[in-house]
Amino acid sequence: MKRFRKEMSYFVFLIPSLILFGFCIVYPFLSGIQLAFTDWNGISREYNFVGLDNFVKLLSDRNVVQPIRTTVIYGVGVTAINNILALFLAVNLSKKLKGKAFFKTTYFIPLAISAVLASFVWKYIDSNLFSEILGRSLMGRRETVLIGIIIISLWNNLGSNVMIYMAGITGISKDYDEAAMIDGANGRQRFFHVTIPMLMPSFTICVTLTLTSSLREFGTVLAATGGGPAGSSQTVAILIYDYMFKYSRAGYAQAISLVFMVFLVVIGLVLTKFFRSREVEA
Amino acid sequence: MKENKVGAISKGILFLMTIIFLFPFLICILMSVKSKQETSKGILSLPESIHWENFTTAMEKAKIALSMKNSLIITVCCVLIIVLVASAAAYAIGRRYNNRFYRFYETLLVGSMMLPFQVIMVPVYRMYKNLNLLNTRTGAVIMISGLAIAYSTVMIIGFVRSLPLELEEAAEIEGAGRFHIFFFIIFPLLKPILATVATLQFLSVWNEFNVSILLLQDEAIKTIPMQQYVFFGAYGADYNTAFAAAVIAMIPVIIIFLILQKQVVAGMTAGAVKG
Amino acid sequence: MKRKALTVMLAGLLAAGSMSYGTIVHAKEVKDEEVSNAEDEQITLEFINGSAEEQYVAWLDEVIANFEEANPNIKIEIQKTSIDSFNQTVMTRFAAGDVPDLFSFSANDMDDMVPSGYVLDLSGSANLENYSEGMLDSFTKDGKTYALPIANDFMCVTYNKAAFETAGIGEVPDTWTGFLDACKKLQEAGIVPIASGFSEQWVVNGTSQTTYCAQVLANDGPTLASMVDRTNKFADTEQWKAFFTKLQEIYPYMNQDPFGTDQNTCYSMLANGDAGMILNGTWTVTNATAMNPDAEFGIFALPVSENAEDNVMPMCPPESAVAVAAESPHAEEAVKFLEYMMSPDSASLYAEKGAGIPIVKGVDTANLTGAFKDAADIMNSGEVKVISSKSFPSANEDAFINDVSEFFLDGCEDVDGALEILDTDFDNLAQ
Repeated sequence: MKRFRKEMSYFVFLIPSLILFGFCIVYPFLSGIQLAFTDWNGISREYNFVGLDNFVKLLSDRNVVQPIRTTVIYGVGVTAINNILALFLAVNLSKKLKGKAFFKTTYFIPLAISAVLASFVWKYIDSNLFSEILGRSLMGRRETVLIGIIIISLWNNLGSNVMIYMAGITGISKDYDEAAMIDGANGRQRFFHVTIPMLMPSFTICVTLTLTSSLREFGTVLAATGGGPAGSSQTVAILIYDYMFKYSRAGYAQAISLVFMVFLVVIGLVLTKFFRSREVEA
Repeated sequence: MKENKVGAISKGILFLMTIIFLFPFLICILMSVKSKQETSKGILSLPESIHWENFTTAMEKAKIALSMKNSLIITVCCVLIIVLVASAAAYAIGRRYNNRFYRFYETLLVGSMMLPFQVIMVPVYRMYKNLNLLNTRTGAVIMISGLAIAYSTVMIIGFVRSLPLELEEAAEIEGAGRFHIFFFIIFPLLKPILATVATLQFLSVWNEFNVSILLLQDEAIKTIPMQQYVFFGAYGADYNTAFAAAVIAMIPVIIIFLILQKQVVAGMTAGAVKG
Repeated sequence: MKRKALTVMLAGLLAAGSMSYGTIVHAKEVKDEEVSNAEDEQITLEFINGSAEEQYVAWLDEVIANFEEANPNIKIEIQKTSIDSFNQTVMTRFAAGDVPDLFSFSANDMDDMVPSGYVLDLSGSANLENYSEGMLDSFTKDGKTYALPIANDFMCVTYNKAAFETAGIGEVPDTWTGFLDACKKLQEAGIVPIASGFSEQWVVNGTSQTTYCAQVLANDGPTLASMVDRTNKFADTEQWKAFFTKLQEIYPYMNQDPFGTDQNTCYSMLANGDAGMILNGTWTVTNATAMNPDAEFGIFALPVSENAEDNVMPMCPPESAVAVAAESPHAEEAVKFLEYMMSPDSASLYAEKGAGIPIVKGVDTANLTGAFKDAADIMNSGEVKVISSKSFPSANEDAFINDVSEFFLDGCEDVDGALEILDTDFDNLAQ
């Protein structure tokens, strides 16, 4: 009985979350999932069930190959660069530094700018300055367009990871660091043996979220290139959107989303598990 | 000696990156004070005089006063709900991490973050129509918070797990209830991460677009990001006014950021004293 | 203890929720008001507008003000949406049964929305008389008309008069050789002959449309519909081959790195005389004028033929319009507004505002200036060639844009290859 009461005392804390989660996600998701098995065009109130047709079609859809490739390159690229830079900045901004508030604010400001305007500014820089320096703009070529979009995304979003890493570093007790220092560890050793392990909760968040959100990238690409030139920057998320709202094939779009989601969930879970198992539990 | 060198290089890179990061922002500001004709003269061209009228036009066309009010109400409510609900859930999950049920719920949360919003769009709209929640701030607040708690909860769990158990156990022996423990022991210790969560959520709710465009179609309750779109037509856009609107919209965000950053720092020192 | 915890938790939630509680109460009050006013026949019509163009919105605001003054019991409420969110808004609302009264409507919507019974049949409207023969074709199915357009944007060459003067081009070119010659002269004068902002996909489409309206559709070529249903193949069609050859010939006269340039930049290049021409719709004039109100522009048909008489302006029926929802509880009033919105009076206002070239008959075009006057003159002179629809269905259009982009990016070398890829892509889509 006592154990049960103790268990309940924890469970109570979960209730508000369960209610919100059920209302906003579980219920709409379950009632929307059936659409993946229909030929719904996205607007009519009637549709036919077509079984697994949409999924079979997906297997032979040539249109999904390029977006998958683009999405993977973009997702991995953004995640790697974003996390390395964010960690670098967080470590350096956590040191004693003149004008720290100014630096922090600098990295934070772009977060307050919408993807559309961020894309516009960088497109502007790309076609006026980069084209002067490099001879051609980054986003005007199939080969380099993703580099351009990665730069926009980094500028626009880097700040949030910097903040999470900084919160993680702030949370590391000075005692550990000092103890290591007394043991004669140098800066690099302290970084790899104290800072990094203690930052595992931050890694869990930053890596998992950057990867899965960049794999779902939508707004920045749409605003910067609309998927061009010649479809070379079209992502899976844009493809889904197109099928849903442009090509009147909502049932099929729903099927692609479902498969895509399963794929993302697997990646997300593997990553979370990987990092969580390395988290230090006090 | 060597460490100094590394430090100097790091500092150099830091300064360089800061300049790169500031540059586009300066262009935003520059855009917001130029006229269309001046913009066409080149990216770095300076305006002959500051075109303040961009700001007044933006205020008027994007109904900034009204939409700012809507955005503030919605954002503040959402952030409060998210921080409360997520930290409570993260506490339960973090402390019961060996329990299968809690682990499963974490898995669900992680999974839900991967959900493309389009998948639930039509069901959500139908549900809201039936519940008469369309075009209400309450409805938007519930949905935006609901979609954000997963991210925030997952973010806090790791930090809960790294908190020492001793304090809690001591309090428990003294007869403190779980609720007391959460609010008076755990909450203060989580301050740095909660302030970070709050800042990030403030920002993402402030910029929230998908849910708002779906659920808030009444002109009177539209939020800032939705109104920023009025400057974009099919064949051309009024970028100068759009940037003026963006610059105005940025001001409250930066103020909140500075306030919350103070909290992070304060939380750090408080935590150090207690720990 | 636990009950207390739960109570406080819920209290917290409620406290946060109550801050927005005012909205619910407010919303309810408004609803009650609506109900009670309905007895006095006070009606609010909701209009989802997908056209965010500055001049269009200014015109619409004035039309609404005029209408509301004449009909004090009807209020029009505009839902502004950007072009990106418009489709999404309309689709979710109709799918969920929460229909607006009026909404922007494009020819592409005919296939989805009309069979679902969402769009009110306007066949009885007296306004139909205001349109020339064939101009409502895009919105007509089985003899019933479902939407009314205000303007007709057509695809043409927009040029800067000063730039032509600087380059020593005395007369607007009326043959293909003349056109290429003009390009050359502009280039020699240090002016970019054709500004193309291909970093935006619709511009690739616009330039293509300008070219194929003249080269294919106005030139006895097959209709786009017959390409989509695969009755005709690109590779077997002389006109489509010529289309790619034309692109090949004008490509060297475009700005450096067109795929790294956006259309706003092109508008300003044209407006400042840094560029001579833009191949796109008549909206180019409106947007370029905004960049430099002092500049003078003109328009002409892309002269694809060597025979000057053949190069008349190709004009297809309008493809964007406004429709009334069949399920609207105030359909009668909605039609009344639509008829007013598309009346010759409103159309004259449309021209006056510089929003575009009205298509409605009986419009006072005396106020038009510059390029719009040119356009109106062309339309009134009847020296136009009426062609079939200039737009592919969305999925085909996107494939088409990609394939044409590939062609440009590869240096416009492989005409046969481009035709072949188009056929493959269209075959796949037809399945």
